[in-house]
Formats: sequence, structure tokens, C-alpha cells
Amino acid sequence: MWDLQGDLQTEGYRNGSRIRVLLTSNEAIAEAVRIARPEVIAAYPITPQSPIVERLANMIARGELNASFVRVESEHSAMAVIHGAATAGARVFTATSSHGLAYMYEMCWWIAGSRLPAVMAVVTRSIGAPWNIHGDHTDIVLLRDAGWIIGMAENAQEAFDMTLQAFYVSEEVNIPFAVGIDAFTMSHTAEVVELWNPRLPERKQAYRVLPMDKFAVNAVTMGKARMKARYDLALDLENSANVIERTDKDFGNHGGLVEKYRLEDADYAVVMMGGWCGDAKDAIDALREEGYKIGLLRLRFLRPFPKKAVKELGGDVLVVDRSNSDLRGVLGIEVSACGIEARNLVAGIGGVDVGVEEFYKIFKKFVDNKIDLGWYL
Amino acid sequence: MLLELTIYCRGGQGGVTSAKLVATAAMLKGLYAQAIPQFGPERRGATVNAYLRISDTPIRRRSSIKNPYGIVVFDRKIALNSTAKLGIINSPDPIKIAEKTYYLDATRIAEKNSLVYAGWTVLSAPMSGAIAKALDIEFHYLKEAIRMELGEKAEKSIESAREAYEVVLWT
Repeated sequence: MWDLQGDLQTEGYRNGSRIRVLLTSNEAIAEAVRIARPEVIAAYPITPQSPIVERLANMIARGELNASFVRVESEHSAMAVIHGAATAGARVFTATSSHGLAYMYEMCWWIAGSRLPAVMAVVTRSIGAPWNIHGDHTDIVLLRDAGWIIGMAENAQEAFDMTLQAFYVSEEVNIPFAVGIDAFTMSHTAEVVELWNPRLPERKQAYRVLPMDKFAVNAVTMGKARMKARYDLALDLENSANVIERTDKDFGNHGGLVEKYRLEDADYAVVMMGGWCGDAKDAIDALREEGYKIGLLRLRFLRPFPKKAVKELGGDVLVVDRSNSDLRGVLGIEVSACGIEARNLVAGIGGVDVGVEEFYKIFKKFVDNKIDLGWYL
Repeated sequence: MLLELTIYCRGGQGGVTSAKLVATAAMLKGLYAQAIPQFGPERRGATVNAYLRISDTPIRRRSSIKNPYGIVVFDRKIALNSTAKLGIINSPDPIKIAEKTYYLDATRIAEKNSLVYAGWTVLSAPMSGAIAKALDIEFHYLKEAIRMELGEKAEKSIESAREAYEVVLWT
């Protein structure tokens, strides 16, 4: 049963063993972290992530969460702190956005290469220049090659469930896990969430090193040692899909690596990820009512990439991206690499508002065969 | 049923809080709701927007509200050109801002209950009372929502919301 504490004493009400509350996705993530009981949290504030760690700092100050909150002078140090704490066997958490993720990028490789479990929330935000605090996915796709598991939630409920799953999966496969949510439309939008209280197992990890141990990690490698380590990480990251799928039902039943929305009989499939998929679904419903057989494959994970589900797509495929590499979107490139001939649209960069009406027009153009590679400007 | 409302106010008047209070009241009634602040900088005194969605089914869309069913105006000096069905305005006399407009002197109610902080009259409580009334959300849900949000400091706000709920008129 829930042990109601702090904010939740006043914010929620019980619904059996669950409580219904009105929370932003930032707040929902903080509540999931409370349940996971990390021992060390380190973070540097950045919009729109800051409310996550502010709420956690409040929990610690009130004595509801027994964790060390390490205030640091930069995101590079935040990741270094949780790297060190994870090495010693602590359950760890951090959160960041945009420039913060770029600044900690080097340490993201170190923690992944060291095969240490860790969980980080990434509130996806545009990277300058030009300056912009609003949402797109250009920051989180930076993590693609670093060796992290990367999830993208669609709403506050999924953000809550996925954060809990992140601790479990990360510690099961010894790979750090990033939970992505869209800036503002999720991070600052309060909505109804049902909180529940799963029991996570005790922290486990492949190895740990305590301060008194005479043991050096990550020394200079010779010959194939580094290549072998990199191969093992890539292979284990690939196989983490099995753990994600297997435990999906224990963490909210969201579909595993993907959510298939009205795809069964679809002649047209749209591929997207993130919070704006909610608007896309409403647009798909409108087109379905007009008789168009269209559906959505929502990628819940960017890594491991849901290759199987993408390869199974039939009919015409449109990938709508919120990040780009060259003129192509990042998901567009990923889907093409699965051997799927897909059309690709880049949209919503820097928080440009793409809602139900815009998606309706985009999808209508798609089914009318009037869309190819392009930017929705 | 999906109701979308845009709230026009000045930074510091409690527009975002009123959206959260009504959204919580709707949740307590068993509905789904979203309370959305204006994204980006919010400045004291500047015109800011907040948004509110209420539905009997889960709300999936989260883009901005372009054609609201209802508009809520905290300061009658904020000029508006609306085609909304429902309007709620802080004004002692009737002003028509929508097909059906609710009006009340929320400033007077808030000041009577000393809801003044740092020189600002905070209107979230009386305006949430008027919104709840206009949306047919029973007062006891709003009362509980205010308790959840404000805890022990809720009494003055509950009184303001109750008065607003009772006195609001429509044209």
C-alpha cells in the first residue's frame, strides 16, 4: 500500500492500491525516483528539467528520501558524481536537458563503457545556436552512439512507469538508461496520473569498487580489449530488448519497444516518438473516420532500436522526425537502415507547435501521395 | 466531450493556479484534465496565458489550444476578440466576451478575504470558483482541490471560491 508522504498527502487520493494525482511529467518522474530510492542524486539545473531535481531535493530535505543530493558546478560533474557513486554500488539518478546533456556528453560515454547501471531523465529540448528553450529531440539523439538505453515516453503516466522500469532494466543489463520526455508539453503540463508502488529489487550490478579496495578500473587498453568491450556493450544493448519486452507488463503495459496504434489493417503507417504522438493519434482517428486506413508505430525506444517492428511495417511509411542529421531526420535514417523505403518529414524543431490540425494536414498529404523528404516550415 | 479553455491573465494573478485547481476538481469528479502554463518566460504584470482541458476520456493531445470553447479573463483591460461559446470575466458589470459570459467582481472577493500578496491581488481562488460553476463542476470537488493545493492555508481561498461560485452571473 502507499505510504503517503509530503506533497502526496495533499495532492492525491486513493483508488485502491493506486492513487490518482494531477502531476506534470517532471513531477511524475520525481515520484518514480522516490519509489526507486536512489542513494545518490547529482544534478545541475537547466530549463525545463529543473523541477524534477527540485522536487527530489525537497523530498530529501523533508527526510522522505534517504539520498545524498550532490550539488555540482556543471553537468559534466553531475555525471562524474553518479559515475563514481555507481562504481561504489549506489543506485543513482540525474536529470538534464539540451546544453546540459551536451556538456556531460563525455561522461555519458564513460559510464556506459564502464557498464554501470544509472538512470537519467532527459527533458528533450532544442540545442543552440540560435538560443531556444523549447522542445525537440535534437539533444536526446546525441546519446544514440554512446551505448545507452534510450526510452521516450508519451505522457506523464508513461514517464512514471518508464522511470521505474529504467532502474530495473539498467541494473539487470548493466547499461545506463535515459528516460526522455518532451519539453513543456509534457514536462510542465499537469495531467491525471495513477501512481502505484511496485517493489524494485535491491541494487545489483556486475562489479563494484569501494574506496579502500586496491583495484583500478578503466586502465589503458591494448590490442582488442577496447574493441571487445565495445562489442559486448553493443550486443548487450541489443539484447536488453528482451528484458524490456519481458518486464513491460510489470511496468504499465505500454507495449514494449513500440506501441502499435491502429496498425492491424493499415495501408499507411506513420513512425514517430515522444509526447506529440498524442496529437498524431487524434489526427489518425479523424482520418480513420473518413475511411483512410492509417496507423501509427510509436517508437518507445530509440535504443535498442525496434528493428523487428519497423521491418514488419507494410504499405506506405512516413517518418515524422523532431531532430535532424542533415536534411534527413534521425528516425528517418534509422528506419531506412532497416530496409524500409520511407518518406521523411522533419517538423517541430525548437518547439514549433505541431498539433492535431497540423498532423491531420500532414497525414492527408501523405495518403494523397504528396509528401516526400521535407521540412514542415 | 473535450472542453478547451484559454485563461488570459497577468503574471502574478494566479491564472496557472486556477487552471490547476479546476483540473484537480475535474479529476476528483472522475474526469480527465490537463493544466498547462504558458511555456517560456512568465513575468509579473505581463499578459500571460494558461490553458485547461477537461474530458470524460483520457486526453492525448498536448499541443496549444487554438480555438477554445471557453475563455477566462482575469483583467478586463486585456483586449480580446473571441468567438468562444463560453466566457468568464473578472468584471463588476456585465461585459459580453463570448456567446454566454459569466461575470463577477473577483478582485473584490479576493481583497475581502485578504488574498493580497506582495501588493498583488491573487485571483486564482475566486476565478476557479467561477470556472467550476460555469463548467458544472460541483463545489465540493473544488473545495477538496483547493485543500490539496494549499493545505492548511486553504480556508481564505475556499471562502473566496465559495462566494464566487454563488454570486457569478451570466449574460
